[in-house]
Amino acid sequence: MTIAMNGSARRVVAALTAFSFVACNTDRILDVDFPGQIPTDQIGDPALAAVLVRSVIGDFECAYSNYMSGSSVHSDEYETSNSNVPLANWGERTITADENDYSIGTCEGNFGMNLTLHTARFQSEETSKKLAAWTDQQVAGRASLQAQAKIYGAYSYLLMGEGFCQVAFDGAEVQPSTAALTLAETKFGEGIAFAQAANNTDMLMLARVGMARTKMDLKKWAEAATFASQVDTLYNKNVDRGQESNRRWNKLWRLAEQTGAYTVATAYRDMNDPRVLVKDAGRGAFNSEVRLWVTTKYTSLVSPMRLASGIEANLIRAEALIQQNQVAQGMALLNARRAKVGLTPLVALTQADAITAVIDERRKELSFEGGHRLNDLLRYKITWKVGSNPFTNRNYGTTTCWPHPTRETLGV
Amino acid sequence: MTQPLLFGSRRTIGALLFLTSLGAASLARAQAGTVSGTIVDAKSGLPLPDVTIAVAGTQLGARSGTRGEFRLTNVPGSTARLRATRIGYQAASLDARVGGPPVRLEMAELAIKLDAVVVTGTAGEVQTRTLGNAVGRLEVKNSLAITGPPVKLQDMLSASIPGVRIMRASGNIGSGGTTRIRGSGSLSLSNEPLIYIDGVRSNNQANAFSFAFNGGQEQPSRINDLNPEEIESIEVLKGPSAATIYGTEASNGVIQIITKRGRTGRPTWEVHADAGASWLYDAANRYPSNFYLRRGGDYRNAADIKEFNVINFQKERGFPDIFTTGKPWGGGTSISGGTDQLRYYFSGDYKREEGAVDYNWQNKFATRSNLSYATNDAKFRADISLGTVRQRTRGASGVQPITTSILWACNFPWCEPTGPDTTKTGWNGAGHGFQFYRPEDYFGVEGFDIVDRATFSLQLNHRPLSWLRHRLTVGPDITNNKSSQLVFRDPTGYNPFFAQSLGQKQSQIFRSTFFTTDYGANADWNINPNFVATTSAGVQYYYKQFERQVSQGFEFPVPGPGNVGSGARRDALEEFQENKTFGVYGQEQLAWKNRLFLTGAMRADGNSAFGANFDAAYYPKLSASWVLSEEPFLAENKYISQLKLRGAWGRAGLQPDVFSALQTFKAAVGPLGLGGVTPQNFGNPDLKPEIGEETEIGVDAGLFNQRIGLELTWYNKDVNDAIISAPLRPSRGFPGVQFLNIGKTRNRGVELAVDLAALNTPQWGLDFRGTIATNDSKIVSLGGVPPTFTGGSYVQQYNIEGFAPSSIFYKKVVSSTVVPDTTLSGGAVLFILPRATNVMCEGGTDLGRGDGSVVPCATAPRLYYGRPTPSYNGSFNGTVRFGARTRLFALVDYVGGHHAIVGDVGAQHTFFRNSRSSIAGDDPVLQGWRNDANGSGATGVFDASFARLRTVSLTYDLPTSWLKGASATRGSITFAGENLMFLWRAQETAYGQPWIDPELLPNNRGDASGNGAYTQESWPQLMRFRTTVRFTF
Repeated sequence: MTIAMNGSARRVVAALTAFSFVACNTDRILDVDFPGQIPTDQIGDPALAAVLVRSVIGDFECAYSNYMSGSSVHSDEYETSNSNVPLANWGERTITADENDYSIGTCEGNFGMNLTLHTARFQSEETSKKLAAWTDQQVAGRASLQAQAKIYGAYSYLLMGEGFCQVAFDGAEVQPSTAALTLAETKFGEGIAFAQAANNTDMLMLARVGMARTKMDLKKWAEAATFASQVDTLYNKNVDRGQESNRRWNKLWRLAEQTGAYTVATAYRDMNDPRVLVKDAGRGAFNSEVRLWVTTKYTSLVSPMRLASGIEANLIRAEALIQQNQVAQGMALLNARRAKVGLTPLVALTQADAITAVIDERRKELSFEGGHRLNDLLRYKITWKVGSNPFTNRNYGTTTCWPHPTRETLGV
Repeated sequence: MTQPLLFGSRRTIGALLFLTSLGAASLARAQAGTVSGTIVDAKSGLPLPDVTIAVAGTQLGARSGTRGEFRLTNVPGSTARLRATRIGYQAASLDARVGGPPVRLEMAELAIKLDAVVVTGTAGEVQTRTLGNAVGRLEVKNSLAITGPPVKLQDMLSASIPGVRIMRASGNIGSGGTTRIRGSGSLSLSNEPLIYIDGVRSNNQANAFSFAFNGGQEQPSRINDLNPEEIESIEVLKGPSAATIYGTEASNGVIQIITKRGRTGRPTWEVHADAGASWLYDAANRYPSNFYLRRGGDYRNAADIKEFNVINFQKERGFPDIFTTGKPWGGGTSISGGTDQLRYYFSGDYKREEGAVDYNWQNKFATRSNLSYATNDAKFRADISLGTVRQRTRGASGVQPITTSILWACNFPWCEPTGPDTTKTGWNGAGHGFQFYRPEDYFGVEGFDIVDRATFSLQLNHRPLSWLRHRLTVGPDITNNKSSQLVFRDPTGYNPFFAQSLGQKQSQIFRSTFFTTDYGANADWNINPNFVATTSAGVQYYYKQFERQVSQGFEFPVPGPGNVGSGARRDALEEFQENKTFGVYGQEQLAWKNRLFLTGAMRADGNSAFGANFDAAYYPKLSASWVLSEEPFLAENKYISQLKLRGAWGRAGLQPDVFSALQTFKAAVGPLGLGGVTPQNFGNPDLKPEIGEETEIGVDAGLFNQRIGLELTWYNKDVNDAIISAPLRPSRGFPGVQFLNIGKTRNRGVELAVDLAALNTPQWGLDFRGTIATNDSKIVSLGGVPPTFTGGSYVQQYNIEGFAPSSIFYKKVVSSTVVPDTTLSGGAVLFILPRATNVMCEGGTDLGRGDGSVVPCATAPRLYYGRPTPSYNGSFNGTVRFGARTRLFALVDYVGGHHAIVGDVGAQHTFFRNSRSSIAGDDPVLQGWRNDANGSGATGVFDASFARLRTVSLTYDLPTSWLKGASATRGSITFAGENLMFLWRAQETAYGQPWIDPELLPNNRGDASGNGAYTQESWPQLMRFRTTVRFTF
C-alpha cells in the first residue's frame, strides 16, 4: 500500500526525524549536576593532601568519641537511665550483633562505632596510599602528613583490637581481634618512622603511647615497657571536639549529661579519689525518677577527650613491669603518680596484688575515657554487671566485647 | 434545547421538512407538543450530558446538555416513547406525556464499557476494547456525589479499583499513605506508581518529609495536594504490561488524573459546601489502661496490681479534655461552558480540615483553569490546564504525638501518687499522670507545613490527515514546600520534650520540579474494510529536580518561641538532585473487524541514574484482546451481553536512585572545625534499572442484559534485575548500602470485580459492587547475597528468598518458668515481680519456618511471623435507591494477610512494663520475651487484617420545585459518616494489650520501599460525619 504524503504529513515525519536525531545524541541530554557530591576521582589531586589527612583525623576523632563514650557506658562506669531503644541498650549490655545503632551508626548518631572506626581506618589506608604515590615535590611536608595518616589509622586498628570480639577488613574474612592489634603494631611502627623522619615530636609521642598500648594488649610486656618509657611524662594528646556539627560533639557529655540517658554507676560516686571526677547533677536523668550523676571531666559538647598521655604511658609501663614480675618497680611508678595527686602509696606484696592495684589505678586514673575500662574488663576477665539495672529494673544482657556485626556477615 | 439528531447536513434537514409537510394533517390531529426533562446517572443522581434521546417511531431527537437537560418539540401524539443512549450506559426508555411536566430519566452505567476511551500513553484515543489489560477507572464526580468530599484524595482510591490499595493511612490531618498496585515488587526503590495530571508527570512522593510530622511516622503524600472536586476521573494502568510505553519508572503502574473540562453550552455554575465533625471516638476505652504494682507489692496478689487510665484520670482531676472535636468545613464553585471552538472550566475550592486536637488542621485553597480550543474543522485542538494549590497544615506530630504519652503513661515502677522525683513523676506531680509530655505542653510546639503547587499542561492535538494524528504535551509540576518545627524553650525546667525543650527551630524548604515533554503520533492504515493497522511512535523527555535546604537552631537563650537564629547551635544542609529520562517508543496495533486486536510495542530509555557502564533499557510489549460477544456465534446470546477476553505481556522499568551508581565522598567538618571529606556512597558503575515483567490474562463480561458485570484478571509480575540494597559491610568504610541488580521478586494474584444491578425500577434501585484482589509476593532470588536485614532495633525484618519482601522473623518463645524476683530498697522489699527462667523456644530453620521442636531460646532460630504487605484486599458496597431522589450507600473495605510490629504495645510489655500481663506474670511466654532484647518488637506483633465499615451515606436530590426559587437546576444534600466501625479484626490484642487501629501503619521517609512493618507514635483514623450540599445553576 502506498500512501501519498501531503505537506502536513511531511512536516510530521520531519519532526519525528528531528526527534530521532536528538534521541541518538542522548549522552548530553542526560547530563546532570550533582553539587555537594564529591566523586572519588576528584580527591586524587596532590594539592588536597593536607585536606585528606585532615579528613583522616576528622573521621578518627569522631569514631574515637563514639567508641570511647559507648564503651564507657557499656562498662561498669555507667548505668542506663532512659527507656528509649536503642539508647537504653548501650548501658544494659544488650547491644547485639543485629543492632544497627552499633554496627552502622554514624558520627551523627549515638555511639555507632563499628562503621566509624572502619571509616577512619579506610581513610587512613587510602590516604596513605595516595601519599606514598605522590612525591615530596608534589606535597610539602609529606613525611609529617604520612605520619599523621598512619598513626591515626593505627589507633583505629588498636581500638578494634581491644574492644571488638572479632574483626574483618575491606569485606574480607573474619579474623580474631588480635589481627587488628597486629596491624596496629605495624602501622604504629611505620608512623614512628615517618614521625622521626619529619621530626614531628607530637606524632612521635602519640605513636609511642599507641605502640605501648598495643604491645600491652598483645602481652608483649618488655616492648610495652620500652615504648612507654620513651613517652614524655607531661605528654598529653586530646581529641579535639567542637559544636560545628554533631560529628564533632563530645558524645559522652551529650548523651550522658545533656540528654541524661546514663547516670554514673553507684560504685564510682564515692571512690574518694581526686582523679574520679563525678558529681550529682542536681536533677533527674532522662527517666526523671533516676538521679543523674555525671563526670566533671567533660563540661560541654566541646570538651576535649584525652587520647594519649604520659600518665597512661606510666600506667602501661607499671603494668608491664609488674607482669614481668618487677613488682616493686611497677608499684613505685604507681605511687609516684599517686603522690602527685595527694594520695597515699599503695602496698602490694605479690604480683597478683600488684596487678589488682594497677588495674584499680587505671580504673580511676583513666575513668570515663579511652575505652580503657572496657579493655581492662576484657583483658582481665573482670566480673561484669549482672542481674538487672537497679534504675530501670530491666535485665542486663550478655554482651561483653563488641560483637561482630550481623551486617558484616550478611553484607556485601 | 432542540437539536436535530443524525441530521448533520442541510440535505437531511430538507428531507425532514418535506416529510414533515407531507404529514401535516396527521400532525395537526395529534396535537404536536413538547417533551422535556433531565437525564441522570442512576447510581449517583448526577446529570448526564451528551445523551442521545430519540422519540420512538419518529426521527425526532435531542442531545442532553451539561445539566442533563433536554427538550423535544413538535412531538406527535399524547405519549412519546423516549429512548436514551450514551457510551458507557445501558440504553434506557421512558414513556413521557407530551406537554406534561419535565421527566426524569435514569440511566445505569454499563458494567463493562468496551467503548470507553482511556489514556494509554499513545497519541490517539484508545477504546478499552482494544486493550489486552485491565484498566482501573474511578469516576470521581460520581463518588463525590455519593459520599461527599474525602479528607484526602487517597481515601477515594483505596477501595475503588481492584488491585490498588492505599496503605498506612493515619488520622493525623495532613498525613498520607502509600499506594500499592499489585503488591510491592521493588526491594530497595519506591513502590509508588507514576502519577500524571492531564498528561504531565507529577510529583508522586508518598512520604514527603515534613518537619510538621517529624515526631511521628506519618508523612504527607503529594497526591493528596490535589483537590478531588476538580477531577473528572482517575485511570490506573496497573503494571508493566499496561505501562510499557511509559518506560523507565513505570514498573509500579501509572495513575492518570484527568481534570474537568468545559462542555459546549451556556455557563454552568456548580456550587458545593460541606461541614461536619471529626473526632477520636471513645478514646478512654480504645487506648489501653496502664497497670502498675503498688510499692511493696507482690505480683502474686491480684490486689497489688493497680489499673491507671490516664484519660479518665485527667477527666476526674478536672484537666481539660485531651482530645477535641474537629469541625471541618469547605466549599467551592466552578463555572464551565463555551462554544464548540472555545470551552472553559474554572473552579475555586477552599477546604478546612480539623483533627482530634485543636492544633491539627489544614487549610487548602485550590484553583483550576482549563481551556480548550478547537478549530472549526476539529482537526486541531489545544487543551490548557492549570491547577494551583495553596495549603497550610499544622501537624499533630511535630514532636511525638500526645497519643504516645497516653500509651506510655504510668510506667513501672513509679506510677503512684508520689514518685521519687516529685517535680515530674507520680500523679500528684507536675506530670499529672503522664510519663513524658502532657497535653498542655503542645502550646509550646508548632509544626507547620506549607505547600504552594502549580501544575500546568498544554496538549496540542492535530489531525492533519484522516489517518494521521499527533500530539504534543508539555508542562511542569512545581511544588514549593516549606515545613518547620518550633519547640519553645520551656520556662519551667520541666522540659517535656527533653533536649528539644531547650528551644529549637527546624526549617526545611523543599522545591520539586517535574517537567514533561511528550510527543507522539498515530497513523491508521485501512488495509481492507475488516483490517485496520494503527502505528504509533513517540518520544519523551522527563526531567525532575529536587532542591532541599534545611536550617536548624537549637538551645534558645530565653524561654518562649524563637527562630533558627535564636539557637546557640545552628546548622544547615543543602541538597540538590536531578534526574533525566529520554525515551522513544513504537507500537503497532492490528484490528480485525473491530473485535480482535493484537498489539506489539517497544520502548527504549536512557536515564541519568544508570551506571556509567550501562547505556539504555529496552521494554517490549505484546497484547491481545478479543471481543467475543460480537462474534456471530455469540451475538444473539441472551445471557452474555458482552464478553471480552484479553491478555498482555510487557515490561517496564524502575531506575535506580539518583546517586546510587556513583562512588562519592561528602564534605565533613574535621579537627579544629576545618573542612575535610568523608566516604558517602560506595557506588556501582554497572547499575541499571529494575525490569518489571508482567503477564496478565483476563475476561470482562456483562451478563444477563448487563445486570451482572464481571472483571477477572490473573497477573504475574516479576521484577528482574531487582535492585538489592545489599547492606554494605561496615568494614568497607562506607556507610549505607550498595545497590546491585541481582535480585528477582514475584507478585502474582487474581483480581475480581463483580457489579450487580439487582433492581432498577422507578420506585427502587439496588446495586452492589464487590472486589477482591489477592497478592502472593515473594523474593525469588537475592542473587547470591545472604538474607538481608531490613529492620532496625528489635524490628526483625528480612529479605529472604521464598518469603515476601521484608518479612518478619523472630524467635518463637513457647514456655518459661516464672519465678518471683524481689527488689530490695534499703533492706525492705520494694517489689516482688515475675521473672522468667528456663525460657524455651520453637526449633526449626533459622530465618525459616519452625519444626515444632523445643530448644533453649539462647540458641533458637528466628522463625517466620508474617509479611508486612497485604495478601488480599477488596471492598463491598451497596446502593439502595428509594424512589427517584434518595440513595443510601454503604462501603466496607477489607485488607489482610499482613502483620505489623506495634511498638506502642511492645513497649508497654517490656520497656515501660505497664501492661497488666507483664506485671501479673500470668503469661510465661510474655515473661520469656522480657529476657530477650527483641522482646519489644516481638510482643507487639499483630495480624493487621481487618474489615471496616468505611462509609455510610444518604443522598437526597432536592425536588425541582424547591430549586426554582434559587434558579438552580439541580440540588442535593448528602449526609456521610466515615470510619464508623470495624466489622472484623484478625487480632485485637497482643498479650492482653489492644492495638488501637490496625490501619495505623508507618509512612516515613527512611522507608524507601514502603515495606516497613514497625509502627509507633501515630494517630488512629478519626470518625467523621459530614453534610454536603451541591447546587447546579
